[in-house]
Amino acid sequence: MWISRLHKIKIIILQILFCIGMLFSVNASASDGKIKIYESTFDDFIGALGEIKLTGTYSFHVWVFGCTSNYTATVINPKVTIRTTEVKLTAKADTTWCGYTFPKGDLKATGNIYYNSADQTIRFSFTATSYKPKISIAGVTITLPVDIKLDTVMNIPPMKITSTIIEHETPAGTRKIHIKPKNVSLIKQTGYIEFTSDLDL
Amino acid sequence: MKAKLYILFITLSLLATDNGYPANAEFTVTVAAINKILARIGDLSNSGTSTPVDTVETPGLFEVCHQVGAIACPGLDRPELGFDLGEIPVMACETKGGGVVTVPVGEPVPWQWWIRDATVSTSSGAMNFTATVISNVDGHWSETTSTVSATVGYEPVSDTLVLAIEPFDVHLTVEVSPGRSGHLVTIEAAKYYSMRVPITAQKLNINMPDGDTKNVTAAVESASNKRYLATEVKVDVDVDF
Repeated sequence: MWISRLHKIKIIILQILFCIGMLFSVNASASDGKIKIYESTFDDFIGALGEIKLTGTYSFHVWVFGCTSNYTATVINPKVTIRTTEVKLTAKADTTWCGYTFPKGDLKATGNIYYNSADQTIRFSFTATSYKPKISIAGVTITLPVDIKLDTVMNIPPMKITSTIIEHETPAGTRKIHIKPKNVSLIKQTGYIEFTSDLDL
Repeated sequence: MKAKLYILFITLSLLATDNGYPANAEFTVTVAAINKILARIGDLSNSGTSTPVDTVETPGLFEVCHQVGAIACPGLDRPELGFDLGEIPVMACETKGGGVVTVPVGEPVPWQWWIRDATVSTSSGAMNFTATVISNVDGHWSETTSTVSATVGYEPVSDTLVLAIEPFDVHLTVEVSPGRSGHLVTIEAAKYYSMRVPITAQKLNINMPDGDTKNVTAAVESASNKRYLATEVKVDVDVDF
């Protein structure tokens, strides 16, 4: 009976050793290439969109106070934060209406960046909390009829990962080799996303 | 001591500005991947027949030579080689510094070459390219294995990632008379394995909340800080939108 138990323990130890060995063998076969894209790239991208504004007209009348005017809500200080668990978009809403400057509101969206192998695209999916600009004037709270949601305001389209071409000379002239990505993965790290791929030649 | 700590703190703070990363992105390619591409290019070869240009008598004198005809010499029949009987080819050669001279050259000689085993490797923070050139000139075989330096770079004008290899030339020569060799062809081995990867800018159309569409183009602005590590090459990339 004891011999049988010892035999079982031996088998378990062998299985553990095998699993550890497999882990090392997986690490040994690194991808052909990788690209780390830092948060600053996404910040620069959002910066390139220029001022993001939502505009409209709002009328508010109560007793002697009343105003009909255009409002402008501008998304300022957008920032992308990448962590292993999520991607966070934050910004402030700077709103003016009827000559009043509203308190700056916090905008936030959390979500994910992932690789969709079906159409070879990097995709962004965010869920945002809604924010309505509010101001209190002489004890009266005025809420503008606008919902600012970062996921709709910053609607980042999918980015296609395409094949590329390598050109080199031969005695018979220039030759082109098509390279396609293979075994693609996208993982989030603190401060950046890491896109790894093998080369399919 | 306090002052030293303060200076250290200031230095660290400056280093950690922005997000702490020096560029927008970091591109890494393994040495194995570059070798995979070189293996895909594979062995290259060429063959032909060239007329030897005397390089001993007039070393470094000529810029370029073109065959212009032949001098008839009926007493020099060489039917075993299959060339024009009794004729010595003549070339017009542009001399360095200007001028053209006509020179008699040897009979056409058949040649063949192969470039094999092209690989790159990294050591001591540098990348090297190694290949073997095997040649056969008029039945005589020779083999040359050389290692030259190679670099990964980015050409902003053409928006191209480049694997540049230092020149690795093998000159095929033939003995035209005892002690005198004639030049046939130069094999520019590095040229064939240097690679260019055009980078396509990403064009994104963003629907803005006001109904407008903004077109943003993401393109590589610069590549710097190349690191040739033991198994991979890393380059920092700045992206311009």
